[in-house]
Amino acid sequence: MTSPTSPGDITTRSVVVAAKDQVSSDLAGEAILLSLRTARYYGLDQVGQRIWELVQQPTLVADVRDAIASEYEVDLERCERDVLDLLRQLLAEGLVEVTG
Amino acid sequence: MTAARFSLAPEEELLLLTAAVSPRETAMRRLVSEGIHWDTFATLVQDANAAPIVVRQLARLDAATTDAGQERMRRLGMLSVMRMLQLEQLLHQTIDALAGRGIEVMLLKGAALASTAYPSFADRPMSDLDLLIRPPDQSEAAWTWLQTRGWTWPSERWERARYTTLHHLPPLIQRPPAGGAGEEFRLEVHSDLLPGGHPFRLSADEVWTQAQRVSRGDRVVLVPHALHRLWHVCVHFAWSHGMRWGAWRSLRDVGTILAGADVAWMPFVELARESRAETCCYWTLRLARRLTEAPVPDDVLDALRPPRPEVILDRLERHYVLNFFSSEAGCPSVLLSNLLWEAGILPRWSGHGSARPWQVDERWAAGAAKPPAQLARPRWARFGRLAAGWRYLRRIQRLSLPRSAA
Repeated sequence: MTSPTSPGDITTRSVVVAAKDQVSSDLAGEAILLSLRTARYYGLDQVGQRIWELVQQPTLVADVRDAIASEYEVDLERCERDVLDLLRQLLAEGLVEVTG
Repeated sequence: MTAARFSLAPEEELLLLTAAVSPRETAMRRLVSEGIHWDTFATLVQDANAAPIVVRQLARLDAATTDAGQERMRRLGMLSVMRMLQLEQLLHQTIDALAGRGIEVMLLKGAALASTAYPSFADRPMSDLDLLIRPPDQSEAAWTWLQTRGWTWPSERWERARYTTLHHLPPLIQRPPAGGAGEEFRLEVHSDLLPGGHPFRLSADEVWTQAQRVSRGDRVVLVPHALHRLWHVCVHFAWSHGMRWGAWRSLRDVGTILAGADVAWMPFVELARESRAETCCYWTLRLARRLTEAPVPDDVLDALRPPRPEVILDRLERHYVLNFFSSEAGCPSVLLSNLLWEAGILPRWSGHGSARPWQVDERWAAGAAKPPAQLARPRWARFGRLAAGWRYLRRIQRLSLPRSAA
């Protein structure tokens, strides 16, 4: 895994991907993540699970935002804020990596 | 399936419906709308280790379940998924440790199915890991080596002497790391598929010879051949578990195996015949088809069918289903239950000689149950049991409905 980046480093121009040292499973619309580094569990709600699905491959954050805004019919500005918030939290926990 | 046909409680019927790969939503919705005792249901779900699947199946009903019921199921499901995520990691570490020691390992039972038939480990909850070691005399070395790699043997719980005739060594345990979910993890190191003295003609050597390497993620694991996996599910349920314990899981396993792959049915029938497992395979497949609509072809059931009239098989089927769950509706006598098991499995016709699963009594050996309580009862109490047995048989008879009503 790459060394943790400052959470502030994620922008809509970043490319993010799920970290390697984690495993996850879905449970009826929710995602459960286990960090192999810290042995801690995390739960993601339905929208979080969708974001998690999207970042299984390296993905531009702007594309994640656009997909979520279109699928859940939410305001783009608010969607961007929420997506960035979640990705920053995941980054802080070492669950995603910024690859570009 | 209807509750009237098998006289099951609504919670039991709902649980069995969730074992289907594509459950009948109308039937599930009807049961839920008629009223489910969610605490009772949660206990059944926990006993069956079925939580994540049940959560997904109930989610199909949208808001039909009560908030409290849904929340409890969700919590159970999350706990189970967390455990399985961790157990899978533990499995990988264990396989790596054994490989580093040059010990060859094959996954058995839940671990083999989770790595093949199911999309993920979390989709096939299991209470322990089962590993087959080759050659069998290496199992002792593997078992000892693993005790230097984080696994421990609680010798006071599982005495060594109880495992001399069993197909695996005393279980090893490992506690979840701090913050980990639930109880300890358990590992069984096997030298064979079934306990010593079993009557089946399928040796561990044959299973090793036809074993398959399968890729899961970035890993390759060794599992029994697809036909042997199905065979093992059938025999483990019908013989080792006497068609009583582990019903939900076995029926789900059969349905999932059949949904995910084209089974070579004629070689399977051949294998069942040659290995003396015809009737065990028949009953597991019949029950899976009846209760979960598993796609078992008619001609396969015909080929495996015990030589008894359908009217008898029908009554036996009702008895077996009634006894999936521990309830007052179940068979009141161990002796009668054994006789009815023999009536379906036909051990002598099958070539089993005098071998019976209760002789192995693995459950007792493992300390999971006490010896039958009736041995300590006074003689007069046996008359009461005889009467209860007779009433039970009459009830099985009365439960029979015309085919058109089934």
